[in-house]
Amino acid sequence: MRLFFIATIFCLTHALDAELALDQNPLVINPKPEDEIVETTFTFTNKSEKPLRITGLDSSCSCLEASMDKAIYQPGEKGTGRAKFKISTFTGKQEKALHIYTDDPAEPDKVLMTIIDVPVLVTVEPKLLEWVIGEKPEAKDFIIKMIAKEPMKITEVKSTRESVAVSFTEITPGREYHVTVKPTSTADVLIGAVTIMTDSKIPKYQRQLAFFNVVRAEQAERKKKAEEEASK
Amino acid sequence: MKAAREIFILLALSTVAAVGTHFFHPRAPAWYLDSGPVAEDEVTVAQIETKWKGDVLWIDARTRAQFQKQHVPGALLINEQERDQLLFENIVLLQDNKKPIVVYCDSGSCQASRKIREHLKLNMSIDEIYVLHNGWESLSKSRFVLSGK
Repeated sequence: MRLFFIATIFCLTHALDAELALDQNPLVINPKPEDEIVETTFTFTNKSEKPLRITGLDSSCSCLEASMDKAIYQPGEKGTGRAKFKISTFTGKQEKALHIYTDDPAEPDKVLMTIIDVPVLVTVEPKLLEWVIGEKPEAKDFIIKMIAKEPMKITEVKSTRESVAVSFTEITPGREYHVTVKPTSTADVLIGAVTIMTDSKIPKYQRQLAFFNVVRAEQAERKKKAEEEASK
Repeated sequence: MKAAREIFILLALSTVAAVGTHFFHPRAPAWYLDSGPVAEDEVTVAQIETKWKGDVLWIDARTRAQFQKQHVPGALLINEQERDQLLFENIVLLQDNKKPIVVYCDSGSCQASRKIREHLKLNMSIDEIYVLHNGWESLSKSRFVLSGK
């Protein structure tokens, strides 16, 4: 009977709700435009009645690494973790999951959502210029806006296709430009891009890529439907 | 005899708890590692062999370090972290490509290959672009890597 009693107590105490309570979730990181690596800390508390062991850390992106200040946290103890994000050529809002694995049977995989908001200094609209096969090969424009504090100029535009002419017009110096794209023919499917060079001092903003396509009518229709469904 | 009976009761209780967890727990662990059935946007190594005799353009969406360690010969490195930079380097190859494209990342659970596929599909109007089911895990022991073809 004693064995039964001990085992029952063990099972009950083991089943007690252990919990790693994160003070920030999501964790928002706001790097500067020139940052290549950004590091931040996050805090948490072991709100359970028993020691909590961190058994591993993993992330949904190799760009995100994390470490904890120790491996075992006593009941009620606060801890600190460190997250390091390699920005590389990322721009805009990036959401990456950080998995904190623990020996807590109720929640062995605690997810800390990390939002990294890398400043967008150049916007290109639309993202893609498209012609349908047989359509009149008229010129179409990308609108480029420099939304950084410091103005930024386009210095050169290049087409990856000889059969597609590209040029740019300065609308507001250092702020707004129109890049004009004109295919010589729309008789066949064609994929290409425009390389837009700027005078930015930050390497990742010195080149932008904007795409153009000549597509079959059914491809354009399929894309339109997909976009409509995505916007619902 | 008494101890044996208590052990039996404990085992029975554990079994009931395990069965309950398996059927009713919202985050019940899987019995074995498997990323599930082949999704609509995925292909398997076997399908690549039967559909295209292996003649596809590979895109490696893993990190540069993993790519440098080992990759499918001829694969283009286009990962999330360096996407724009790597697209600049590979745009001419991609725009002239006529083969189906297969993107792979680490395993069945990584999302990098799907993100690269979505970006290329959206911007380059590529119809035949797929994610490799189970990623590098399924590829590393295939003839594409072992024989270098």
